[in-house]
Amino acid sequence: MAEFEKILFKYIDFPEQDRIDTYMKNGGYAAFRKAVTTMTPEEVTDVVIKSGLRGRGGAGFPAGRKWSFLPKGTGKPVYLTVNADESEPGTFKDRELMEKDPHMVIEGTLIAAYAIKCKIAFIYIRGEFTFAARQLTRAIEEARAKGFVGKNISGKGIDIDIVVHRGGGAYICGEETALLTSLEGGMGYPRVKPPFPAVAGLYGCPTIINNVETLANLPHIINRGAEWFASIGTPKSTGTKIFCLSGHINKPGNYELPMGVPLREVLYDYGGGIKDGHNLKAVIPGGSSVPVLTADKIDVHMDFESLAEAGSMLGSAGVIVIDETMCMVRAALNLAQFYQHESCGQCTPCRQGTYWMLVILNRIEHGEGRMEDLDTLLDICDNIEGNTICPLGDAAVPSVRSTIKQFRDEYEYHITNKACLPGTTAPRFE
Amino acid sequence: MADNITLTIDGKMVEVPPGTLIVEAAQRLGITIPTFCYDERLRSVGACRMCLVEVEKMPKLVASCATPVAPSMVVHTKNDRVIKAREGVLEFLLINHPLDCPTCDKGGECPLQDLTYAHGPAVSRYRENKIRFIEDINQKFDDKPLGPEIILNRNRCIMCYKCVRIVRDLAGEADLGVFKRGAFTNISNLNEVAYADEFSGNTVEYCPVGALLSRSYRYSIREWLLKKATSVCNLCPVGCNMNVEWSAGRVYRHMSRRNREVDDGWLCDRGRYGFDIFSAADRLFKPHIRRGSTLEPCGFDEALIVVSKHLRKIIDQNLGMQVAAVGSPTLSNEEAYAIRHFFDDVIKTPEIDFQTDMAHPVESGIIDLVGLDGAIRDLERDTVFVIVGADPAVEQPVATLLIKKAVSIRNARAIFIGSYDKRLGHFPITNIRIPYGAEGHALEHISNRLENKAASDDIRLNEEALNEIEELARKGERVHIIAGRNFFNHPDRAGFLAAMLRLRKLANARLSILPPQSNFIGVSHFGLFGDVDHSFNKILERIDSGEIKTLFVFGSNPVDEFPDRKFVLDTLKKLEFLVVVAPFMHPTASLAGAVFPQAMLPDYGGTFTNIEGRIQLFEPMSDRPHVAVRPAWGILGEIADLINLGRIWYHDREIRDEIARQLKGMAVLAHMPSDGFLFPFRSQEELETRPVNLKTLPARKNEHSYILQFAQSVHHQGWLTEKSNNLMRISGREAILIHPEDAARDGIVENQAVTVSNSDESITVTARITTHVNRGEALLVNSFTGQPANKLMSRDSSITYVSVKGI
Repeated sequence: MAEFEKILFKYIDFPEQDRIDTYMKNGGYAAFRKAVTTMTPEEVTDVVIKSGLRGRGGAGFPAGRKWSFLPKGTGKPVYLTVNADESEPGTFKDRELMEKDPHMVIEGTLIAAYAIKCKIAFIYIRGEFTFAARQLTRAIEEARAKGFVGKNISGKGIDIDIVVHRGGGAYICGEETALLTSLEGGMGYPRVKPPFPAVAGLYGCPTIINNVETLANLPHIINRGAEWFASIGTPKSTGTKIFCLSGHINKPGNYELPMGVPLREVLYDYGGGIKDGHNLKAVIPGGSSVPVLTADKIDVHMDFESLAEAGSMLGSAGVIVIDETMCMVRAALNLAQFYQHESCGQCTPCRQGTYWMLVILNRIEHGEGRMEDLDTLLDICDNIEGNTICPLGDAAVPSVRSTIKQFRDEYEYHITNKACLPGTTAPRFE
Repeated sequence: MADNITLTIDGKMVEVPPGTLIVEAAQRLGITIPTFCYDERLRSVGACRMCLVEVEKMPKLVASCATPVAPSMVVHTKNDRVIKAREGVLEFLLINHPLDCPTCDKGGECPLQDLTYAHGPAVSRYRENKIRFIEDINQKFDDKPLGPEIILNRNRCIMCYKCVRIVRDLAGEADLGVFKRGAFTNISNLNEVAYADEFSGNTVEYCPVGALLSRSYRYSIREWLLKKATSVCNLCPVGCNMNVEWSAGRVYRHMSRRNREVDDGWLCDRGRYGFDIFSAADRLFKPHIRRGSTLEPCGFDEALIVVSKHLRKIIDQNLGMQVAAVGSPTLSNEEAYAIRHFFDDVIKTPEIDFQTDMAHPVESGIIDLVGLDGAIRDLERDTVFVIVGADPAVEQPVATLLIKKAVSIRNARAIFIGSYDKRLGHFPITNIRIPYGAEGHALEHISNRLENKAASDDIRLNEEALNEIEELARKGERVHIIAGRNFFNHPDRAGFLAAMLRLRKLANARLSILPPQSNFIGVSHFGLFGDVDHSFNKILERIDSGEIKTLFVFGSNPVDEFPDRKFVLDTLKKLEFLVVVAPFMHPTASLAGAVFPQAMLPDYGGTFTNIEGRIQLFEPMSDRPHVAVRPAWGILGEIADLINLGRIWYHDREIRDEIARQLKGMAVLAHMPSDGFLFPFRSQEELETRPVNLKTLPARKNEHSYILQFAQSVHHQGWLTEKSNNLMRISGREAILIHPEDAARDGIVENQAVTVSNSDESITVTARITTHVNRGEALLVNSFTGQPANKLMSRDSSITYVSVKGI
């Protein structure tokens, strides 16, 4: 276990870190002050581009480049929307940041707002995160009292206000365009792209949507420079990443580690190994929307490129550990239930496909499966993937497809013997 | 304008303007991309995914109904990847679709059926139970009434959101919405409020499956058994194009026959569901003649002989001046022309008119001004609507869609000036409330501001709204002044008109006075209205004095229409001989000596002229189940034959040919194009300003008197629509709207039955209490012939004072 300096979690358990005074004592708001007083918005964007910071919400799109897509001279206001609708199963990193170090999120939001010349930023937070919402709201008021939020910040004529908007607890509202529709007061339906939000987003105006963890990195990049940030991690996946360990692991929780750390190290050195001395069966490395990795692949490095090479994705870095006692049919059914329930129902393939997959998996699980169901399931996956308005359809596919491809024997055993493979039971994810 | 964009679709090059969608560009090449949720008139949602196509260099398939073209795009609509996705989408659409086509109304005209046939898999792999929305455990077909007419079967729904978009974007209402998520997503109405807006029938017509149904059509006939007659709606002057669909002499429904220039494929519910007037139970199919005190049914020839003998006698004795004829502005051009021609030339009487609902008919100088300035399509380009004394949403519903479009998409302003509040769906409008009869005064306020003159203090108006109009008019916005029904019965019509003309000039505006009746423009266009000396009220006076002894009534119903019921009843009783051509045995027909059953659409063919001056052809159904039912020209032609003048007309075409020969500039009538002919008819020199002399405003007589006003609803317009069971199911009952302060003073509560009375007569209606009317004024909505409002009116006064008392 190599020693390294934590960035985002450095003060995460520091007493009263959620208060502005403590936060400032620990160096808080220095970056925002530096950006506002010594840098132009374009310079801030430049530093972020050079740092190689990639979006932490799942897609991994370079944050600075996203900002540079904003059209210039439209005469319309520019909006920043912070995506705090963290709902991906197995992912709980933004929650900890917002609850324990809300000012870091606020400072990052302010820096991004300054860089894109936005006057009102919205934090769209998942409805169930009541404590986090309270923390953010209070942090904004504290920052306002200190003059970091509001009109004429630092006497420079900069106006930035931050509004916390609580969602209704829908997974789909974490999709950026559904988030905007919901923020506007509509039902959380994704929009057809193009136009992309950077061109026509919130209320038809240019809008940038960034993840909480992405923004939390900004104060450190401004303070310590792009080169420093780029030196952490791998050349293409820079910086650190918060990995959310859950499932059959001895020490579940959030771990901030450099990008590119081997999965084996995450599981055994930091996570303390598999629970109850069982053997590892599979890992979902990036939240429930990515393909499963089998136990023999855990030497993969945890960065965007290496995982893609290994046939999975880094996603939101929600590492879900599955040991040998878990029935993979039940695991797939559990996730299929989630996606069927969270499908918004707007477009056909996702609305009907997620339902159809769930019905078939349910049948297999209850001993009424047919052998041809497996090919039908794979074909349904093909018919959903890529054909939907938003990525929710695409996200529903990997858990089903990868479990069938990699654990087909378990499915076939289920169908022929009307029971789980011996030795596996059907616990739910814990 | 930006340059056109060139792209390749299936190997063919096409050049289209920027902003064109891929599906539209493909259409130009004759490539049809299958769609369910796409409708060029509605905002794209890209939800059904049926129209997925491959665009080179794009990683995913794209929805061609929601993706605009880009330069050098290369699109494939028929390759394996696209076909696989398309089949997949169809399979998905069908897994929870009940496939109950044999009992579904849409069967035979169902896009889902057609596209499944064309693109779908032949066999479904879906072996599971389908999701079923059970509305009522005892109901067999899972149908759920959304309102009086519209019925929803959610099992069949494929979530194209067309109905939601029609309600929200077109009608501007919020009656339908999406509930729940995922596979359980379903359409429903909000808060169990009955869904019955003005355009609800369009959701049924454009539903791509049998999810939305009309109660009046459900389970009545299969689509392929229906024959279609090309027709034009006769229930308002917009003249929406439609097909009357019939079988064995019965009309089953009206469907839109899209004419982009007029209706763009929409019909209002009055036009769509009023079809059952045609086959109403008490419709007249046989002539009647009076024997003693009763009217008895008789053969067509028998009635003809009675009337012909009478006329022969009159002609022989040269007593033509004792005969008068009144028609109706809802008659076809051919009928109206035939009436004037027959009575002018054959009977030789000048006593001919076509307006029976006004005590003071509109002078011919003003009649020429009636009509829409410009084309209907131009409405969507106007930026300011000053709508005064009119409620176009009720009077010309489909034309109002363009005002709604201008307001909702182009941010146009709609400003209503009137004595009670109007609405335009949920779209933002301004209501400037004025006392009854003060339309002219309000317009003068605006004009004075534009001329920087001091405003008079006769009425107090919403300053903010006035400032807005002034500012918009000064900015050179496209102002359109629209007057309507209330103009025709306005107590100070001359002053109102002069004020409109003045404002028109100052604001450089367009001015449209829109008639409420369907063929008013046609009758005025051909110069058929009687002049003031021979108007219907003068005819009545001459009947009263004994100068006129014989009256022919075609299509109108003066007893229910004329604003003095007692007078018209007493007068008509003095006639020696009254001949009525009527579709129903209405109170006027009951007084007659001879009654002929009147032909209604689609019994006969002809033309109507709509508000923009478009002459449109309608055709009869090819089946004639009721031989005695004739249009006015059919009856007059036969009479002419019997009184030895030779039969004049056999066909509506002959009358058009004759008009084409007789009237200047009408040659086109001889060769009517099937999609109508726009005839420019407004003479601009008539629009010279004239001095504005406003009458003083009517005052309340005492604190218990109300000034009575009348309003109609979209679903009910008087004695004719009352015969439609469909419309009566949708329409509310009669009600009188009064202000809360008046109600409190007179001790009236909401929904209380009240008598509305003048000194001699009274009617009983339900009271509604609302601030949408002024104090001291009462608004009677949905007047039914059972409680005739014209009982309360007197031809001597253009203002009706009543008292309202609780029962």
